[in-house]
Amino acid sequence: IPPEGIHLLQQQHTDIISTVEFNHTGELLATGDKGGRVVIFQREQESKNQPHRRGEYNVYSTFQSHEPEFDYLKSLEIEEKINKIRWLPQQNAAYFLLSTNDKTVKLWKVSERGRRPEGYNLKDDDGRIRDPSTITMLRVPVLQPMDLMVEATPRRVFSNAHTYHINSISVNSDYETYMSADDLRINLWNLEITNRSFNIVDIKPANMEELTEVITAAEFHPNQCNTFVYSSSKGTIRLCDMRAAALCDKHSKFFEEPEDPSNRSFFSEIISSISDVKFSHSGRYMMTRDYLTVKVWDLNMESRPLETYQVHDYLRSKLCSLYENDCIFDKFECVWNGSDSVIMTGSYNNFFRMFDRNTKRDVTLEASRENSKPRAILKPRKVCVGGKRRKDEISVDSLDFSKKILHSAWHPSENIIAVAATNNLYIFQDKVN
Amino acid sequence: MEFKVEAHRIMSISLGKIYNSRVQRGGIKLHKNLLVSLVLRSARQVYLSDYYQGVCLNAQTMDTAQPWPPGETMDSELDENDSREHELPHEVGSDVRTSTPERPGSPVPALLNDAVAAPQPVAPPQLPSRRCSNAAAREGEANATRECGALGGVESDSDTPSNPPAASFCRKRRSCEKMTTPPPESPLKKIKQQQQPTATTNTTTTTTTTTAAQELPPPVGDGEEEMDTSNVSSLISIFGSSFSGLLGKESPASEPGAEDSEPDPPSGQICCEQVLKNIAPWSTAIVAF
Repeated sequence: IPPEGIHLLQQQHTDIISTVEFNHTGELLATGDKGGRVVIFQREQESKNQPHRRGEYNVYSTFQSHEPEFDYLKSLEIEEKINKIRWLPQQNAAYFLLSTNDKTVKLWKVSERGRRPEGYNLKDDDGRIRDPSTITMLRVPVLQPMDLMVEATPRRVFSNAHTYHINSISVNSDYETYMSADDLRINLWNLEITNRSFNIVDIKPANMEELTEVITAAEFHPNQCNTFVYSSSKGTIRLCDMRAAALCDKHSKFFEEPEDPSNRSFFSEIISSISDVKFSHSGRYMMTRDYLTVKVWDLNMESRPLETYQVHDYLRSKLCSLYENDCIFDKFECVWNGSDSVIMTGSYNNFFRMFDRNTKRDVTLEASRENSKPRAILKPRKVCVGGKRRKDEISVDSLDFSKKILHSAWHPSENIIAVAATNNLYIFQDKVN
Repeated sequence: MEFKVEAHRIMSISLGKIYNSRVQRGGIKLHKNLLVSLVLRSARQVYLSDYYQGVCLNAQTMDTAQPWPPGETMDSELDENDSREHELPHEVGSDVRTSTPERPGSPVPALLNDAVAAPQPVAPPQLPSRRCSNAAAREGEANATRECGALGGVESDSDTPSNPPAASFCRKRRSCEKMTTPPPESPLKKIKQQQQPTATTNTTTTTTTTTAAQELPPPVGDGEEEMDTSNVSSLISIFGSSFSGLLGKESPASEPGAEDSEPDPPSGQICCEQVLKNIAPWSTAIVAF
């Protein structure tokens, strides 16, 4: 059942949030924003004293991941906006994540310091050098508890490998490599090595005037470390096997749904461009998001998707206006829940939609301050398409297209969702009994 | 007729977007500009198919000698669109118009097919424009348009049945197209090929982190690996200079920014016809982008 639950947390970034991602346990939630900052939230330990505060998320660490840069050679400014954050699985006490802007990927280590050594021989606890004549005995420094300090340090910087804008990064299930994808190329990196990357996909034509499509998203398979997919602006998905060749320009599978000729318009190509692709946790399915729909594909069936869900089909007649105000270029993301039974994606007016794949029920919810107090239950919303508008419905023309939910995340195992609405982060979870 | 008007409007909006993309932070976004160019092509096909249905095919030989700047109509369209940008509720009226091409079974798909079925008229004027676009990229001068006009006159005799722009233009409609003639060698292509060697090294795998050894040695505007949007720049330069020539021969506008110049409704109709005649030479610039 889709969580219609409780509004637990609302945090405000100073900048527009550009990516949201839970780590593999769901203990941490990372957000990146347009100003190049990363904010990590940590879930509180559940305590018996306050059972209703079931694991709220509080700010754990904030750091500046990327700064604006200027490429003097090309006279181009490089935005510091964080396009994607991906967590590495935890292998020791520290947390690692990859964050990327348009050109550079960085590996960040986030670690706690709760103790510090005290009782040095040659210097004070303040750090001042002790007068040697005052030292009369030797002592062994001991670790004393201190106020918890969370520090983030950049451990690797992967740069100078992308001519075009990076749109995706994905960590391989081998936990040794990851890939970064820009408009025309995909590179494979070893997490340890920053001065070398391998190009595994290159769709740049010899003559740029022949360019017809670009790469829009890419992801590694969750279990098979040799398999990955990438989506294109033409609405196609290619599945590639790295065992087949060093350069994976030839796909192993090609997923495309034939276009419905009755829906043809000036904007057919734009709305078929895929903005996000995500494997299911099981690895059996993948989901793609284009402007108006979400599609679930079976990896074994290339001819058409298994399921198609209409996110906001009432916008189909408004495409020209949406083209004029640039909304048609918005890139919505989509997410699976932990059991792959529910999928979620955003829309306009701070609406987001959930589709239950089993019951075929769907719900529209709104992330807004006015409509949700802490611990209030979210009320389903409805967009009125026809003439007669009922009391609680909102008409298409009243939708606020400046309020869009592009980024969201679902906890890996529980019914907790994080939804980014411009510069506000909302976290919702299932109602507790 | 209303398709033509709508197509024209969409074209001017698209051109405005392409033009504005050059001042956006973070550099020109390839994906968005590619999508805009696809819309531009679709609209142009509809527009031209409407045009060619009523006009003698001989008209295109006159096009190459025409001076470049598009009519004032483009300018005024942009002004209207700017004011309307964020007023979605107001779009209901125009949506009634726009929804017509998008309805199932509408004539637009048929028109698109018609446009594709007759690629020949489109082909000849494109070569001079290609040279023009590259020249503009080099110099970025306001007189690029005059250059094009002169070149256009020179090239009008050329009899090339097809050339790269036409081939790539029609590539999108693969199923309908039967163009198999290989692109002829043109001076432009040779220029491009000179720039290619710098790009080929990039298909191998190495990168370095040393600041000196950038993988992208060619200077700005020349090399393929410069996040190859040189075609975009050239297109924008063309339209930039075109916009400046918009407000009639007597008073060139100071700023290519079309938003600043005033709409001129009475001459809009006249300029519409002017635009029609000038549209074919554009096609290569659009395709080049």
